[in-house]
Amino acid sequence: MAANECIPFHGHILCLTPSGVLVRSRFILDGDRVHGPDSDHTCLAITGLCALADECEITTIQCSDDVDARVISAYGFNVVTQNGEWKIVAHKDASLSITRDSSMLNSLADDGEEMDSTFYLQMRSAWDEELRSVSQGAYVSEQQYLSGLESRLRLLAQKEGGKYIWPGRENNSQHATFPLKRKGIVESWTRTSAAGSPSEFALRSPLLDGMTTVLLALEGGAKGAFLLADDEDAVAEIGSHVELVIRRIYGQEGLIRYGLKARCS
Amino acid sequence: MVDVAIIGAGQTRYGDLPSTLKGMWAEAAQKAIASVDNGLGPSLIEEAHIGSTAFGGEQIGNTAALMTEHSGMEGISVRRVENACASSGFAFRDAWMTIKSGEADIVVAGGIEKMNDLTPQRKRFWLGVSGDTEWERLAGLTFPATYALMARRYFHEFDSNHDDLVHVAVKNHAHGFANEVAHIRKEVSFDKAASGFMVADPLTLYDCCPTSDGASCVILAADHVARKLSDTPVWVKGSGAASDYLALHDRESFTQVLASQRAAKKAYSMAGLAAKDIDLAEVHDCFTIAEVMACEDLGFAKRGEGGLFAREGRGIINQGEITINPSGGLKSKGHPLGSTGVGQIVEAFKQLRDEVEPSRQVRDVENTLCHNVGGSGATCAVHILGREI
Repeated sequence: MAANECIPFHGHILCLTPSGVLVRSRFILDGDRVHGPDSDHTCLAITGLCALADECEITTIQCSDDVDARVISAYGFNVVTQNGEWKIVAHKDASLSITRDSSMLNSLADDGEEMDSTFYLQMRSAWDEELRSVSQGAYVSEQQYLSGLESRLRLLAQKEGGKYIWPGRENNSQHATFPLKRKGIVESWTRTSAAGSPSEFALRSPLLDGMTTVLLALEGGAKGAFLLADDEDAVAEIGSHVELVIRRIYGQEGLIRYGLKARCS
Repeated sequence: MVDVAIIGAGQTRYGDLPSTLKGMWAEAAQKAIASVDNGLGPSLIEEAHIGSTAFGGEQIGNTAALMTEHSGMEGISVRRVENACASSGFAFRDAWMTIKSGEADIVVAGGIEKMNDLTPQRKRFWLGVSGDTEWERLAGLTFPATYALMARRYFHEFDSNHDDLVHVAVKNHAHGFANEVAHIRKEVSFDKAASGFMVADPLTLYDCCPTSDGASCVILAADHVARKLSDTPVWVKGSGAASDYLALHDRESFTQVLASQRAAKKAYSMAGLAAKDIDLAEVHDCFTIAEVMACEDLGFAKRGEGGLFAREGRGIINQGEITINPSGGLKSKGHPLGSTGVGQIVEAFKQLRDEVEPSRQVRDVENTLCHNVGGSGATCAVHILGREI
């Protein structure tokens, strides 16, 4: 089935059809749809599921191998290995379908932004090399990353004295948690130089000419620091409103770490 | 309860040094021992508390045992104290408490860091390890970036801009120029400091301290011992320490360091002094904005007027009511993480004994304050030292 109505959503292109959703990267290279600087099929899948959840109740999800099921699950969706109500089907290019019958959707719309080929190839190469890297100092282990993933992606906060605390504190681990809205207001920001980013970003930061971090006021008094999504040209300003979307953060020892990043809304 | 004095102090030069951890510590300890007026053998030292972050890993475990092995202090009770950049400020406090408790009469506090023997790639893995690794590092933050967030917010909330930070850099480089142990002995003009390479917007290279090698060592003694061994002991009049949330986003404010305020309050209270009584302060200016905030947190400037304080040159040596960072501070003297806190105390000790280079000797100094911050403000130790107790 071909979708005709496509809209920008979470920095991707979302096409709604009666059968499900088609999510496409907004970037094109020589006629092919390619992933953005810090995106992949897992990020597209979350975007599609968020849109689908606005339209209907999602009971179970079945992922393709190109999607990190742990991330989908941590985001709050019920992932199963077989007989899922909805199936995520990754396309060969930077797009995917989420349908009940595993069909692949397409769109007649010829939308997208042309990406510089040199930049694209350098970024892909950097990601590949980064994934093979090992830490020589500061380190977020796979165990630590996974234990905080749900809180990281769902912004699960604890409530104490009328104020939300995010991320929560272990001594309050029995407290109820509340998912905060994935929106914030910029309280401060900085852009590091290519050499000023943490080592985990050392290969990509020079290609991006540095990276931007925003310090956000979240819902209910909670605050948090986030990178800008896609590290696009959008200028952060104190007081501006942003939405938080899922993107790759960095790769190490074969594991991509995902998290929320800010997009000017 | 017993009073505690510093009877000896020494340090290496800070910089990109050829010596190893062991060599640097041996030099600092020997200088400290040699500075005791009436002589002291290392065998009389009963305990040692040595601050280090073990940056780069030359000797991560049992660092203190290795250090004392190379300074004639074998066999005594030793430990490494780690609180990021405030490691040796806390080591000093622990040494002071050891004597206060009556457990020992002569105790060493020191600090050490070797930072410049790493490859650039490995160094980047270690820089920023004292922030919240899980939540700040994954947001692309190292300490220049974290302090940049604080600076931008400070400019937003108060009547201040980057020029105020430039004044801090110019002052501290001018002070450090005369300091023989300083890492960067180079004066900089306002225009040059204002146009530095951008490290983390709005902070430029001239807003950032260097990564330095270095070691520092002081010898503390109980009053009855201090008066015998020293003709000019420097007294510990107040000690305060505190902490705050590790991650900046968990803190109540981004434009003040509550750990500094809490530690200073305790130290002032113990000393029976107020900010107006301090003649000289070595404050933790890892970044220029940190000095602006410290001047407020320690009570030298009103809230929101730290920028104005710098703009008006109120911390310049012998030009106002107080001198801020006569050593050049971390900005010019250098910042070997674990050594910095005790290094500040070495400077205060020498200033109080009129032993620094004449051109940067603060006149009529009676009370000094040393302010040592860990990370972006998760820990802080403040000590007040004076000629008289």
